[in-house]
Amino acid sequence: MKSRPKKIKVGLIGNPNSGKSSIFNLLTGLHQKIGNFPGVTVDKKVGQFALTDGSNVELIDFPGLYSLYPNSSEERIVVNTLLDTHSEDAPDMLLYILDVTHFKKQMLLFSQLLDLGYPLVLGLNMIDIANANQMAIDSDFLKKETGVPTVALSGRTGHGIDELKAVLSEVSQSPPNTKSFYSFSRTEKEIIEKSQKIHPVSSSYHALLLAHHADWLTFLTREEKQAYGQVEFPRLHHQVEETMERFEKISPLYEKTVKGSASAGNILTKKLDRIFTNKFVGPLIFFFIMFWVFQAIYSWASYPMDAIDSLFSWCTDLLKSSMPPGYFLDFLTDGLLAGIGGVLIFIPQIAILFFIIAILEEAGYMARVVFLFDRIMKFFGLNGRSIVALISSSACAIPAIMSTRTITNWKERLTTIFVTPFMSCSARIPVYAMLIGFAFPARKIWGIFNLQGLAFMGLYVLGFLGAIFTALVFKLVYKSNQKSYLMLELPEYRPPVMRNVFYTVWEKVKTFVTEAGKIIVIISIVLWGLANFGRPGQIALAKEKAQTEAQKEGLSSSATEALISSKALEASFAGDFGKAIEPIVRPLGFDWKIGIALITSFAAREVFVGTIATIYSIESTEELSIRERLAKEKNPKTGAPVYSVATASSLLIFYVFAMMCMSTLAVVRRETNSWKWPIIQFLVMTGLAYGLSFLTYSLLA
Amino acid sequence: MGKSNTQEEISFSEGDLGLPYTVASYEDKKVASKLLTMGLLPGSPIRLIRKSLFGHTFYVQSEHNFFALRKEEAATILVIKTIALEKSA
Repeated sequence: MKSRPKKIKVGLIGNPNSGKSSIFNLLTGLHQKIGNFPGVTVDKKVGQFALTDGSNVELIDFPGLYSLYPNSSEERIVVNTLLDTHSEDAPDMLLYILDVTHFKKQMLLFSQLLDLGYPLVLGLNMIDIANANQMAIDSDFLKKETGVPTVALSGRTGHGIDELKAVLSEVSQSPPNTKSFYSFSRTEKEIIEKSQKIHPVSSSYHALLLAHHADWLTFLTREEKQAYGQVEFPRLHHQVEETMERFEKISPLYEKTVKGSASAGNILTKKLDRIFTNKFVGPLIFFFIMFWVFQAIYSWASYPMDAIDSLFSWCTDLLKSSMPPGYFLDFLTDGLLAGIGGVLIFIPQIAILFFIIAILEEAGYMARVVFLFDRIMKFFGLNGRSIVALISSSACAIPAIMSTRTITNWKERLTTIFVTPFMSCSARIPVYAMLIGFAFPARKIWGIFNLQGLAFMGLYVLGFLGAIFTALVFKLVYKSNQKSYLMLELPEYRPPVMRNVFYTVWEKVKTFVTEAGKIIVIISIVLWGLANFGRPGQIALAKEKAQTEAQKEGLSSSATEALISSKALEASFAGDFGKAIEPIVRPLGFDWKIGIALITSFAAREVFVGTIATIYSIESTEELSIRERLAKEKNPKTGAPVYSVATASSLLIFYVFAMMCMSTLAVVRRETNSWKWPIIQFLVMTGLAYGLSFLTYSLLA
Repeated sequence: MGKSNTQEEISFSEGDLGLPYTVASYEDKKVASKLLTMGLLPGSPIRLIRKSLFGHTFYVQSEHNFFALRKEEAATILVIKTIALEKSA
């Protein structure tokens, strides 16, 4: 036998809630990356693992799918990829994951894939739950009936994973002969014959699906689509007939394969939902959870954040004491280290937020939130599913905007995309965290609630109100007649698989560090350059002037130094930029230094903190944390603190509403396929931010 | 499957809370297409478990599966009252 390492592309398919991602994580571990399907922006998770025969598997995790008759654009992409056998994403074989406790329902897609003709392996997942419920699964019988190799799995305990790898290896070498499942009617046979003449494929069912979906399949040529247009096809009627007949065959198969049912989880879910989806108690519980989440982010994260902060101070001190002073040292400490520190310090908060969201999602609670709030969301021109996007957007707007693909109504989806960036994402956390102390004192209210924690939550609520009221305006302005739908499965409650939660958190933090981090570090470095260089001779001149001024006023040596670096910064390129926009931001209570930070923030909000760090670290000689440094900042003319309650509040309001994230705008452009929406979004959000900041400053100053 | 057709078809949104019904047919193509893929077929049992605060969203059970439906969606599902006969099958 010859054995050379080969690469096998395996597509991982299953219903939503089949436990597919548990299996994906078990198989691939940390060898995962996220890409896109060509031409579209649906997340494509790809992982690698090796089989015992030495071959390498590339496992593609497709979005959850109920059947080969898709209802959302995300489902369409899966079907499009599976039907386009020449596509670079077309897998060599499929691994179908089925939740045995929902065997009958999830067999539908399996039976369709069987007829489609890909080599298949069937993973019977949740076998641990089946066993705990004394269910008996006759997988040998199932294998005999379908011809498909079958493995009992548990995504929770890891049971059956080694056997699965062995079976994958076997099937990749010699795909077994499988039986076709569905028998075609006469009209269907006629359609298949016509379809095979237009776009020949290897299986009859494949040909039938091409004819059914020809309108929107991306790989068919215009001529082929025209030819399909001539084929008469009562689509829905056919889909009903096919689905009914498939279930007629699945029923006896189910009765012979599965004995017993997982009624315990079912009964528990019903009991829990009596409380969680209760019309009065349900929403209260949801608000309580959200309240607790934001308190947690603010209080739990402070310890690791302090630790990271002191670690970077320590590194800076170490460098300063061990290297000769000069531009290079300044660059390392004030440019690079300050930039990296500004990114890493927010990991604890982002991790905690995603940790809680992932647990709620894994446990099945998020679908209940959709149920509870669909009606009110609909009133604001959104969809129940929008609430999931809005909540995930409190971590990052980009995945949230991408998650709106499950909303089938275009207007509701567009509205959700449009208002999602109003939600306070993790990039605002650093800005809020830095400024909130200047606007609100640290004290307890009624002895239990942390005032700053409350204010933090208040900013989130403000963002949420901005989102829904903008949606309401959008609803009234933008007219559409397309119907909207909810129809959502409510999965059973299950204790979250902590492995999956961990992978989600790890993946999100990694994305934040690499994507946002890159921009933050680059901008920190550019800023450092702008702040240290200026028009020829200007900085030297400013320093000289400051020196004489200090001597005249008889300032101490440290005060002299502060004055000199402040004047030098003012004379630098950065100072020029800040001064140029100062007239625009003056009415909001901002000085030219904040102006610089605002400009850089339009790349990404969190850059604000790095910018501020860079600007002020140049001025002070002591290494204090940014917040302490800002508190010391005085207006050179009046001597009053720059970060007054009015200025800090105005800045906070600006950051709640302004559209300052290039990556989000890029994603909105891709998702809406036009520049129109990101441009309108930018103008509306930033205009609103300016107006409300102006109002805030005028009221408080 | 030997069910009597003499029963009167009603819209599911008119049905009573907690009573067992059987799906007879669908009036809306989109609703039909989606619910079929989720395994809710003509002949499937269906039961309204609860309504949301203002009665616009339905919590629905069919066998071991739970769904959330809007009232307007439920209105396009035609159902008949299930009679106790089925137990003997």
